[in-house]
Amino acid sequence: MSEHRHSADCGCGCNDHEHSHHNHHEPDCDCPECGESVVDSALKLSRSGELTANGKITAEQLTGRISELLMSVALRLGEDGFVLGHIKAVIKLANSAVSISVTRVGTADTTLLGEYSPSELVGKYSLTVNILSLVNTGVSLDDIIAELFG
Amino acid sequence: MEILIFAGFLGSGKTTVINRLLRGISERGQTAAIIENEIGDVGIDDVFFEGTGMSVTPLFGGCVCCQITGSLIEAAQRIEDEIKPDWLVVEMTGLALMSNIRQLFAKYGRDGIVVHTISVLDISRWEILNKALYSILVNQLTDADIILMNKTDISPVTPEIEEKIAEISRGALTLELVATQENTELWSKLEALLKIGGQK
Repeated sequence: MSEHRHSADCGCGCNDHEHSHHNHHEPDCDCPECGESVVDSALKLSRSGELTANGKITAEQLTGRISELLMSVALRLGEDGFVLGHIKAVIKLANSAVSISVTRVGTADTTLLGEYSPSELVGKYSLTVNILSLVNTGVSLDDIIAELFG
Repeated sequence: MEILIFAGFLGSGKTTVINRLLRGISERGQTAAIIENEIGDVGIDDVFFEGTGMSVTPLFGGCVCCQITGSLIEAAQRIEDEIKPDWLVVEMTGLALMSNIRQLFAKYGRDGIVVHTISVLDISRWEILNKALYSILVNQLTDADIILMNKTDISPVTPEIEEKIAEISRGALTLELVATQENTELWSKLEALLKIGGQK
């Protein structure tokens, strides 16, 4: 998150202090020092891909593996044990889907959709990942993509 | 058609709440259409609405409250004209500002359109949101007609938190819930709040 904090006395030349800068995005913000919105400086990843497992991994194992990867991302981005944003993924299998949501370090909330069977052997699946973190600690997006999508 | 705008910080549980409510709407014989806004280019929450039989309009690649504003109004009007649902449910991004949305509909929406603003608040992250993102928290609560205090199974709503929410929201109606748990009465409870006067 940007470290520039605006206040009535910040002297940046921006006369509009009815709202807080750097804590929300506003299209009309014309503060000369405020060139970015909180969304611009956030860590953002939005990626989807069709992947193939080797047929020897079960749905439960795949879910566990991706959950662990997302939790490792949360560990790198977390602040006081929380994600200031949202790390989420959806795994689509043949007849079911799994949604994984991480907002707290160390915990992944999963929602099972459709005809999910934990013992189902996974061949092809699709993975969609959206990460938006207002804490950007310089985590490499390329590394995250490589870990998740191979 | 009445519009339900759902805002609330990233990961607060908006999609889960909406999914529960849609079931309730359907069970009451009412109809709904959904507009799903996502900052990212790829949609991810629409999987929750598959199989509901309800129309889902995705608006991806930016926040409708300030980046792709025209898309929201256009979509809402098209849905009203073509589908005519009882309820239009709009799920905003986790960084959307309630005040911007209200102004958007007031300025560009059709005359007489009824808009209810509902903020989903993740109680489990209350302390960190207060500490690190207070102005976002305030912006998302201030213009809310109704505040759904979610994840109360992880953290309870203390009297102090209740008082602070009341102060920030200037008296919005509130409801505690655990969206991940089955709750067949959630839509009935919300509808009752809407009728009480959940509209600022």
